[in-house]
Amino acid sequence: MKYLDVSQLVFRQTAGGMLSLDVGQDAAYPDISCVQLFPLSHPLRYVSVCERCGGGLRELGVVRDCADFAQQQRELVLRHIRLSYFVPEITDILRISGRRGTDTWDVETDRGNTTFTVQDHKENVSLTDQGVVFVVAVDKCRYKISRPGLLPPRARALLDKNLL
Amino acid sequence: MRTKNETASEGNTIPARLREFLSKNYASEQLRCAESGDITREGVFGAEWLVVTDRRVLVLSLDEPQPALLDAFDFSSIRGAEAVNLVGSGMLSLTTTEGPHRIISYSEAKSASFTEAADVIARLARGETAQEPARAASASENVCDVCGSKIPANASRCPRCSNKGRTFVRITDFARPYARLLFLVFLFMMLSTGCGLITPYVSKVFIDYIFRPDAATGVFRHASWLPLAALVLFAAYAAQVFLGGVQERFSGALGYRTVYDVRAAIYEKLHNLSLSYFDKHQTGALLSRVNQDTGELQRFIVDFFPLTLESLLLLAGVGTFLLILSWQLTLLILIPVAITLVFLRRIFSRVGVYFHRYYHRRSRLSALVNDALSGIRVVKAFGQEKIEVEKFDKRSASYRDAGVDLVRKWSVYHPLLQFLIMCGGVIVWLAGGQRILANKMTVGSVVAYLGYLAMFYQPVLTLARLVEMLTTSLSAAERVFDVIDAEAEVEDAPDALSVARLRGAIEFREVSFGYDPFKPVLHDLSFTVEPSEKIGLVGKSGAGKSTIINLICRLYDVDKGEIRVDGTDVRRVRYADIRRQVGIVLQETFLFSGTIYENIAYARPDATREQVIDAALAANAHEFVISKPDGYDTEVGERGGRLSGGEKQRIAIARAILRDPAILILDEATSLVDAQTERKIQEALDNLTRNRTTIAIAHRLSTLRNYHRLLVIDNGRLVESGTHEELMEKRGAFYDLVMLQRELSQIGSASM
Repeated sequence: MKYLDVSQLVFRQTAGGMLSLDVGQDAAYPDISCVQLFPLSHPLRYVSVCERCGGGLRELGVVRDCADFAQQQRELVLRHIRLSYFVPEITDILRISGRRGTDTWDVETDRGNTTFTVQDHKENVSLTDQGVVFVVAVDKCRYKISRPGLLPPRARALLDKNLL
Repeated sequence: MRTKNETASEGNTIPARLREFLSKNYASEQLRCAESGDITREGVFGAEWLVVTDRRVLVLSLDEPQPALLDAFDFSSIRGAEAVNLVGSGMLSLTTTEGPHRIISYSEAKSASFTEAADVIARLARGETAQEPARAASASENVCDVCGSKIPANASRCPRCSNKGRTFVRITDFARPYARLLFLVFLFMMLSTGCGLITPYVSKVFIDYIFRPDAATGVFRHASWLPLAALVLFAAYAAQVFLGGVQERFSGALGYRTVYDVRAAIYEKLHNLSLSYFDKHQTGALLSRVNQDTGELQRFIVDFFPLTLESLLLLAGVGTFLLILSWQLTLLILIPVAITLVFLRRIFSRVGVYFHRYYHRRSRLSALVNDALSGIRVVKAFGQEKIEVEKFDKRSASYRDAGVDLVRKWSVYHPLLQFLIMCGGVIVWLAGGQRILANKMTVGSVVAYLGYLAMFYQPVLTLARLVEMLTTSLSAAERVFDVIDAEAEVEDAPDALSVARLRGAIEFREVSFGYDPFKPVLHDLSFTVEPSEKIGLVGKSGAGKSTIINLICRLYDVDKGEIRVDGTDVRRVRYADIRRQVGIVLQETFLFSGTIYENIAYARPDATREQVIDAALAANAHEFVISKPDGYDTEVGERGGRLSGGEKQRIAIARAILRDPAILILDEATSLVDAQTERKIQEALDNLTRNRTTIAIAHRLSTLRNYHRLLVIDNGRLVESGTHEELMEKRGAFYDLVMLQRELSQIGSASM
């Protein structure tokens, strides 16, 4: 595995909203994608830096820890990771209204409030061994609750009803 | 100026103020496409609009009262457009003269619509006339016409708007052939319930007539009734038990027969569905539909349906007797009954969570045990027994805790429920006693009343759970009917041709295909294969080689272009004829539980024993078969687990030889065996491929050396073709792959 020396990396946001990268004086990449290798267990560590080309990704190397970046660079990389990895974190469950085995969830997430539909919660609301709850809506959008214990008590009670 | 796409997806009708804005500022331009994204450029939920006219691409925000233009690109500066799939979302990216631009983001739910939009932009940028988006209709199909909700990808109808009444009728349709049985169930239930209703009233006769002495003489005037009353009571009990038993027998037979028919229908349907259906549905979920959902249906017909009918009959009968005995008392006992019902609703929702948690943890524990025991060789090989035991302990403890929690909750609610029911009895004694003392009611009537009251709670408790049980059962039934109603994507055309024997010529004409139509795997692929020609497909993993094979077998139909077999479009030939003449040997050989003979003969069930043995001989399988104690009758075990990889592979080749196909497909057929076994298999393959059109994918490129031609596939496109020598001389993509393989081989040898 090629680990990248963060001191050699300069990320920039292009005028077109893309992430570009200069590696020292030698190489420049106009369209970069940063991919978390452990998005659930270590979201800020082991980030693969890839060049987007030909409809696919070509890995340039891996950054061991985003904490190694200077603050501005870190914020830029994390912003783009956030744009690429869209699995909203549910922070509160306002209401779950069920009807004929299909539930509508009104939730607050780290990406704003939203409403989605879940069919058959036994199949689409799951708890991983790491204790993360995943909710899959009928339109295939995924939502996660990384630490269910930190939900407000009422939301926790609603989750309990629908999780198992 | 509206296009079909404007209303293609849920909530996507162009808002009036956006329409006004466009009319005011871009009046002379023709609208081609408009889609609302659901993620802003900051990555949070929010709408931004993509508008494509014949001259430009616009991105607008409607956060403020007046639409705000976020981006605008003239087609003169646009070089291309691409819908880029990200995790859980996507972005539409434009390549302009100034470089790439991320113009709008959207969640996965909208990726179909934006893929269409990107296609429209790309075509307009190339100067082509953008047609109506080809798949806009399919996007709109995923939204319910009635309630506007999104319909799950694996469902054929909106679960919110599905008519449970209609589902119930469909279940009864399956029961229709057993109408006589249904009538008998109902008849015996009525008789049994009627007998049950007699018994409390007989106790009134005992107390008020037989055991009541004459007030003046003290003589029991109706003493002679005693044997007769006892006989009536005995007969009522006996009839209730006997008739109830007969009814149970009939309802059981009705349920099992009906569900047998449903299960047969769903299983037959699963075999008739296209492979694309199985791509969209997990095997586990389908297994659950065949086993658990039909089981739930069985529970509904065998247990729940008769129980509900019986409860309704009992409720009506007991209610009538209660009112006859004392309508005043009946009004009074409605108070504890109502409290009990409210209490029931509350405890079902509260204790239900604990029950679900208990069952869920139990199933997680059993999944863990299943996993560990299935992989016990791996566990032992890596010495991970301790870790597995620790994992088990953790889950078992969690299961134990769920059980303890459940018992703790239930031990509070269940006695409370019993207490509430008992309160009804206390009220009857108190109020009924007062009526006795006031000579308005007899002791016998109060005792009979208590008897009926005890009977009254059973149907009340059953019916209180009616909605919950009905919802569970009918939802299961709907999932079953979803499969039965599913339509196969690959179907014979009404005028499909029957082809007795193919010559084996294959032609791909500008074929494009993707398992998800919005993510093409093959792009405008064209090539021809002559009859009896041997072709090797070469390329990296994910290049599209296996997809080509799936299309030749007509497991899927192409999205664009056509595939011709012997000059005829495969869609015009009966697919059974195509599949009958295509033999396939896969890398992962699948054998069914059964004998070696049965597995070879699977290709042609009408083959004679001699033909099966000849096929095994040609596949070099015979020599290992005779070394088995039971020869061809040797059981291969689940998935062929009792045979080695090489043995399984040779059985698969024998199976293909027996089929005598015109077209032979070899998909990495020798990649999982050692060199000596490979030689035997190669000999077998030489026998098999003689005089047949053969298309092979091989991991070891050297095995394709003797093939007539090699096609090099990269990213779903044909990049090179020629003989092994020609491609090596060319020093292109094939040469690079061979060199890479040689390097890896040398590294492997050096490290040994």
